[in-house]
Amino acid sequence: MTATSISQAAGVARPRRLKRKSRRRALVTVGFHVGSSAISLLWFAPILLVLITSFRSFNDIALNGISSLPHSFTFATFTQAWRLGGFAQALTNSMIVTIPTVFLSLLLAAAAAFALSRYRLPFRRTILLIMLAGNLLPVQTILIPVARITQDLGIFDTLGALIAVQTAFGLGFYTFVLYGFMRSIPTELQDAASIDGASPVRIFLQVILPLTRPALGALGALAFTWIFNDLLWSITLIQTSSKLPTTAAVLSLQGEYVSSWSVVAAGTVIAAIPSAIVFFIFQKSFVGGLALGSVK
Amino acid sequence: MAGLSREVAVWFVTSVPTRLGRRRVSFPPPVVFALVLVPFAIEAVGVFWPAIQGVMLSFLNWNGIAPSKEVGLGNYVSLASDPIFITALKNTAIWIVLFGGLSFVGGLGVALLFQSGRRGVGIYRTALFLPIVFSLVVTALIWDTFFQPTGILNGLLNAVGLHSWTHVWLADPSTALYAIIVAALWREIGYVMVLFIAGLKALDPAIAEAARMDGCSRWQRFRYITFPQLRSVNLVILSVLVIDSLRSFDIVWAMTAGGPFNSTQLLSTYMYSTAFQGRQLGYASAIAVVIFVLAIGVIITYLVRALSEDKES
Amino acid sequence: MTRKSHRWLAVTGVALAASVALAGCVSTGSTSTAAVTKDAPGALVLQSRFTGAEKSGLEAVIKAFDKKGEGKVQLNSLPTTTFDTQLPSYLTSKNPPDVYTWYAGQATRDFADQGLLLNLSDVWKKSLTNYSSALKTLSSTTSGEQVFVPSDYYWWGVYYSKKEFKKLGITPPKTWNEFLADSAKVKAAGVTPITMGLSDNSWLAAAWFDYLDLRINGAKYHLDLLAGKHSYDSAPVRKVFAAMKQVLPDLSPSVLGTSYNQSISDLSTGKSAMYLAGAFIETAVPKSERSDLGFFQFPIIDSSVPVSEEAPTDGFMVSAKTTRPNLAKRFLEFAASAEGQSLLLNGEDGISLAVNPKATQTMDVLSNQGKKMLLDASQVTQFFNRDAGDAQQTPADTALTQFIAQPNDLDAILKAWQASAVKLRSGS
Repeated sequence: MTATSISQAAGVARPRRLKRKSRRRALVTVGFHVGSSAISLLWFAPILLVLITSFRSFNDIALNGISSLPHSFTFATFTQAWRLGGFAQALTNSMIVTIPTVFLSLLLAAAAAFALSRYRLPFRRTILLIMLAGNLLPVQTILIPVARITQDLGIFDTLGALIAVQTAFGLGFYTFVLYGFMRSIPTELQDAASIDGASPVRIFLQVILPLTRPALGALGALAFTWIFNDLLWSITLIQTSSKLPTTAAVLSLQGEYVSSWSVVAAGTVIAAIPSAIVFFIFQKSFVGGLALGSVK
Repeated sequence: MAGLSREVAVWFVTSVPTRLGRRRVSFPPPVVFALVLVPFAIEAVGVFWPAIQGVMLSFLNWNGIAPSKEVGLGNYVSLASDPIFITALKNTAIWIVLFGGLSFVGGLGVALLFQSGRRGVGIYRTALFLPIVFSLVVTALIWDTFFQPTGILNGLLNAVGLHSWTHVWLADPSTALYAIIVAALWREIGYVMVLFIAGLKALDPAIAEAARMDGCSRWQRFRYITFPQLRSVNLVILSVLVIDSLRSFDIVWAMTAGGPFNSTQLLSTYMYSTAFQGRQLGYASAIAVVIFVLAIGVIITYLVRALSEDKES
Repeated sequence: MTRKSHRWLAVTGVALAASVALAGCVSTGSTSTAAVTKDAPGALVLQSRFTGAEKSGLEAVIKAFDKKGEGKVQLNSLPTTTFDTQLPSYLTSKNPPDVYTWYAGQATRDFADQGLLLNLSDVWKKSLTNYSSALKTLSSTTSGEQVFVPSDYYWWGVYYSKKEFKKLGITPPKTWNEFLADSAKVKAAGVTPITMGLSDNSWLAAAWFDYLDLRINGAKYHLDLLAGKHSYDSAPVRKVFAAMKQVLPDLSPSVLGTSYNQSISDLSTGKSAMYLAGAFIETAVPKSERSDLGFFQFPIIDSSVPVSEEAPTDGFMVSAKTTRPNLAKRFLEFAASAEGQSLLLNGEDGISLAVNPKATQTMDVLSNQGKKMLLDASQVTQFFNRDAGDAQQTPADTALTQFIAQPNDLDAILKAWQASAVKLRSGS
């Protein structure tokens, strides 16, 4: 029930009060947008600088430095970045690795979180904490042991190894986050379904998973970005340059001693587009997130 | 409260079979075990087993190409007397408090601001999330440019007459770390915002609405209704922030590589530098184990207590 | 603590005990294979650290070699930083790539000492007969076998803008005192005499250390120092730092916070006058300014010390576990020939020199000047990290940047540097 409906229900029409209230609401909205725009612009400013840099020529930046006003405008940096970095191949590689990994790891993590949060499994908290603990060891120390394992298994230098390793590595954290969200789902829905005779898998797929959509959306967007932007695993497990993903492609735009920063910036912009698109798509699911009022 | 009576009711319902004389506690069906064990097994092979090997590395001296040497606890003993390690430890503590704390507050703030379904909110959220999407090499370069002696920040300070506030930000040991924290916050707040928005979305709006009807102010509503309901989410986010703080590496490395002369060295950058520049893999693993123990210590004790307090259905 | 926490602790305890029991299971050794006489089928895998101009040179050589029909080469161009950190992993992996680009000097000997490199002495005997003996020594291990085939090298010098020098009324100095006097003149005119991009490329400071050491103590002392035969905490090194102290007032006051990009811009716009850099700096300045660039030899300090120069040399090495040793050797013979060298260096933008005396390449004024300077030198060293071993660069950077900021702490700085260097050498 809203404020206007209350006063209507009270049967009293107070035009002047309403006008003042709606004017105040309008002011609040304007204030909100002004403030939010200011914050957003502040946040966007460094990226704006990246964008501006990507359209400048090499000579312009070498002569005037990066923080100066641009003295040139060119699209050549983008074509150069695309060609030199081998982005066509690199973007394909990134997609081949990222999409299955996000899907697999979220599915497995949701399954584990479901089992741990909705059922009284023995040692459930211990298992959860051990899984989370797997993410606490800095990744640098397991790079070499994992490389050895993949070599022994014969999957070294393949994209499949990247998928497998990235999935395994993310599981602990995603399970932990999803556990936190699933725990707060009230039990009535689940009990209703189980009394109806639904198996745990059906409850998982048809009851709990839909309710976890906001969290899955958030994690999906984040996971996509993390895996897409991963560098360490890619360079450790891949030796053949045609199999390297986008992050390595951007890095290869930097020379040993000299880099054309505008080309590197252009490459960075190209590399950022997929993750930005994914986020923009997924963030709608936060808006349309199911309110738990449906239980009532 | 309402929740507790609900929990009692559910316990009653789920333990009905026991009244009929089977078991005291309802035992989950076997498929539920599979739902946990499959992911657990995958993580065990892909993470735990290599992690154990990584820990074992800390008891060796190895440079990656020569045969390794057993040194037992020698690396840990060296760590204790290593001044760079002590500096890194101190800097990491500062990092966790400032970076973690400010990310939490900042992320919550913008999440509350942008949680509504107002028009244009999607654009604001995307603006805050974009930093995460851009690769660190270039964003570090941009922030580097921002902090240059003749860069944007000093330029702005000079323009408003605050000449005495200008510094050589990244070269001055007293300002370098904080400058990097600013850049790191720029990235992290959007990420925390995303997690908080998802958490806020999952809250029951009816309770907050009822409080608003009762005349509670925004602040009161937040403090007594919203924030307590966010407890599980807060748990997740604080843990995430501590983990992220301990893992923060890319931005520091790209901007100063731990310099000037180790004043911005964090445990994570020191470990990387030792492993990949100094090629001392055993010593680096020892540092990694320290990071791991710290993370475990902070997070697990907090979580174990928090999880034990909540009664689960 | 609750009972549940006790249970959890017990589980952790068991896990820890189990992992201690598994102590011996870390694989740190690399698998060894018997010597290969016949080549495996497939292309030769060339792992390269070049992604810029040098890549096109390499691609040209590979194209010409492929046309010869003796075998194909597959080029993997990795980002430079990636290659540098992963090289030990590549060499010790189960199926390592066959050929690698790398630098000459201790940086290669580190791998040869572990038996990771193929003996290339027969390639030298067959095809590299006209290469200088200095190059041969550089490419050899301590036991005298060659493990490296050089491809090119470049020079270091103090770069300046000819236009700016004319404006300031100075000519390139030859001696140290002339240099200091010139710097004072520059400073009086309101221009920063010397700049460097130390905030993100702190290794540039090592060039000053190297050159001052070469000029004051000579190349033999310098190489012995970097090999660990002398201590950093010693009188000759202090002499080097004393000379550096003379230069400190001429450095930009914010040099430690200046990025490489900013320093190049300062040189190009006349805000700074001089820059001790390698030939690579020529491709970093705007193209419009490049013709204005000149360099002079690092000033002579002690005329009794034989003049040595830094000439970092790049080249190729082969993994000892390669399954295509014959193809690898044929490729290297081609790359080292006059034809191969000419192809390799054509893309180099004039900033590096061929090692084969018979190679043809387009030379400009500066590359001729550089070549002559190096040929006239009595001895040639590589650069700090190539001579001392890659791992030694970090403590050097720390010591030098700290000295620039706190020159009065020299004692503590040198002591810490020596301690770090020793620790790294002991292989911990």
